[in-house]
Amino acid sequence: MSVRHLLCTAILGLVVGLASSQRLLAEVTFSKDIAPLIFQKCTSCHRPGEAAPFALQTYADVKKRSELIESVVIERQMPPWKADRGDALFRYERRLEDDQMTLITDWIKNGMPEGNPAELPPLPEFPIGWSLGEPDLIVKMKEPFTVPADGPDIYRNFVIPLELDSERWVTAIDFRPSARSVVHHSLFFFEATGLARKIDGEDQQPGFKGGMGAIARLRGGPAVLTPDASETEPGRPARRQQPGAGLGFFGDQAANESPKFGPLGGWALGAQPHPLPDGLAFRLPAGSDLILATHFHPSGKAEEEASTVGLYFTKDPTKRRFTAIQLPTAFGAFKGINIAPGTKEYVVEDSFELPVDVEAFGVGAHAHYLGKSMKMTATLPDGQTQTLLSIPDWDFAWQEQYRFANYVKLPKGTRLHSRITYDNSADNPRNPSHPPARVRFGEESTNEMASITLQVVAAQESEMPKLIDGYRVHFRQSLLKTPLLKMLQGGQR
Amino acid sequence: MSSRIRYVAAVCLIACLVHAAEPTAVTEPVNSSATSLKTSSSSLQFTDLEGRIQTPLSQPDQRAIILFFVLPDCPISNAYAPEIKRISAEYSQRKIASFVIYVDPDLTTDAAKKHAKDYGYECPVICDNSLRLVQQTGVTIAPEVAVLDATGQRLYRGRIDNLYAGLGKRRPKATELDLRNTLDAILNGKPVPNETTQSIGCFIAKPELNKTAP
Repeated sequence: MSVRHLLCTAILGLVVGLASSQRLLAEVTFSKDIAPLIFQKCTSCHRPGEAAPFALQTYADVKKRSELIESVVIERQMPPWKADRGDALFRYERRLEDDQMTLITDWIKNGMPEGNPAELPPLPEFPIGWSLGEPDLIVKMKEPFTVPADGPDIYRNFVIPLELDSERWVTAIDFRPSARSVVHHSLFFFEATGLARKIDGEDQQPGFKGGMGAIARLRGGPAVLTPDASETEPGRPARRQQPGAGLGFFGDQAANESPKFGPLGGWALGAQPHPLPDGLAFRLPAGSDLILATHFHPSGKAEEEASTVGLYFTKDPTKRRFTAIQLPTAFGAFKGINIAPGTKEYVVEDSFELPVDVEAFGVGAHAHYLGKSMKMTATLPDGQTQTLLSIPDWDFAWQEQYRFANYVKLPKGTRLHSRITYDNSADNPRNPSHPPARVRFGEESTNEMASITLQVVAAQESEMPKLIDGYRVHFRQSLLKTPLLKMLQGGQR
Repeated sequence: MSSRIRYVAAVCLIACLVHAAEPTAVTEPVNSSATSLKTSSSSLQFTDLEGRIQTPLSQPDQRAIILFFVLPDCPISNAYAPEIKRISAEYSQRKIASFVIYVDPDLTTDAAKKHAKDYGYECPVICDNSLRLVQQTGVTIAPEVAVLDATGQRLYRGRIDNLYAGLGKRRPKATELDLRNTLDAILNGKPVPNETTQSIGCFIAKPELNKTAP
């Protein structure tokens, strides 16, 4: 009896549910529901002259690509946005909400009704030319770099003299590749000693070999502490910084009052240029060269790239000094990274307790091809835990620099924790070695690095030194815990 | 009694589910048994981009035929251009004919010519705007290849290699060279290792949506 009752209810429910979902589905049309979503999430790149391979501007465009759209949307390959929804919202987020994803896939399954074209919203007016207006300084690569038709990805650094006779403060950089089909991303740095110029062209091609190794060469960074430090070559200017100084990938303005090398942000496919929030600006010393650390994907046809870059300055120095908290420190140089071939999940973690109240405005992550997942959490003094960044399927190709929608307030005593996992098995298609090989720490893309970097200001400007000192202590402690160092100390006894 | 109810319930549920799935079900192209192409189709003629008449399904003086199906605005398809050219050049010396087939119904001849020139295809290039070769070979993805014997009998359909593990997941280097292995097997008189593999790339428009009569 009760079985029959249950059954009737179930069938009734199913039928009613189906009928209503069918009815709702039938009402979903391109003009009314899908076009606004496509225009907002896809068309800024999928239009003529932009990087995406085809336009998504009309019903016909979208209908023609429906199968591909369905696949890439379900797999979250597109729109390109690798971060999960955490507790802090990101600004400029390109991610599709789950219900938006369902709307698109249901509409496709339902035969893609166009609906009433009168309901179609107008195409957004995308900026023509410099989207932030005329830059304060426009520079261009001196000579084009040839990207071959095929082969592995290329990482190349280009040096562009800026000829500035006084220091400036950079609030935004806009980047315009000339060969959009091959330029995947570019990270920007300044270098004010002339070292980059010396390295430029040492292999007879424009620029010099890229990757984090090259960046480390310029900053005297973690390479100095690694067993295969290539920086101990004679004749290279000794410019090592003190441990703890200038360790951030994304911003370390406060760590050293006048660093000669530092980051200026970056550009990735799909991203629009945005000024730093709230009057913040990167310091750019007089006499700096701009360095573009560019990642190329060969496209099947040889291309020549000569990037144009527009720099936007603020009139005044940065309103607040900011710094970067990188966990693990030094890109994981002290973590003894040593991943046996075949390891499905290798974990690197680090924690740091905030010595002062801080406000975070950005976060980014770095690992190479074995990187699998990235997560940074903040456990507040009241025990509540927030996810600041979670990338469940790390992809080296998408090194987004995430900006929080609002300052994330993290009180003194908050414990930041980063957890990075790696897959060194043959199941990881990005594994650079086939069959898999042992992988240790290093700057080459066949080595591994580990870091999640939080960009912060001290809630009270006066507490900035305390924040930096606290991080320096953490850095030194990490250094002293280095497995290699311990091993050496043990060996000396 | 209750088992009968359960039976009825199951049937109802299945019926409901089938009904629910109905609007999403896509009717597959009929030619799933495309391994044996109709004899009449082997005389299919196309004019290539150079204006020459080509019969890509019939090459009596060759040991095999490769049809490379490509879409000019698909980055994965384009990324394969150098490998397509290498395979085409290497195997042409061993009496295997190659054809590059553009399968975008909206592609103009001028756009096809420009693309073929930009990417430097040297083998005959055919615009199959009515997707007749797609229908004949059963390919669905670009890039995808069909390998046929000299009379148009299909021996292999699938990927060129495993350079892509998924959309947006490119290996540093391919580790399974499916097409080359297939061709080598054919040249050595051995059975092909796999008759079909799954290609990764962009979707080709469904041939049945086009009003064509091969």
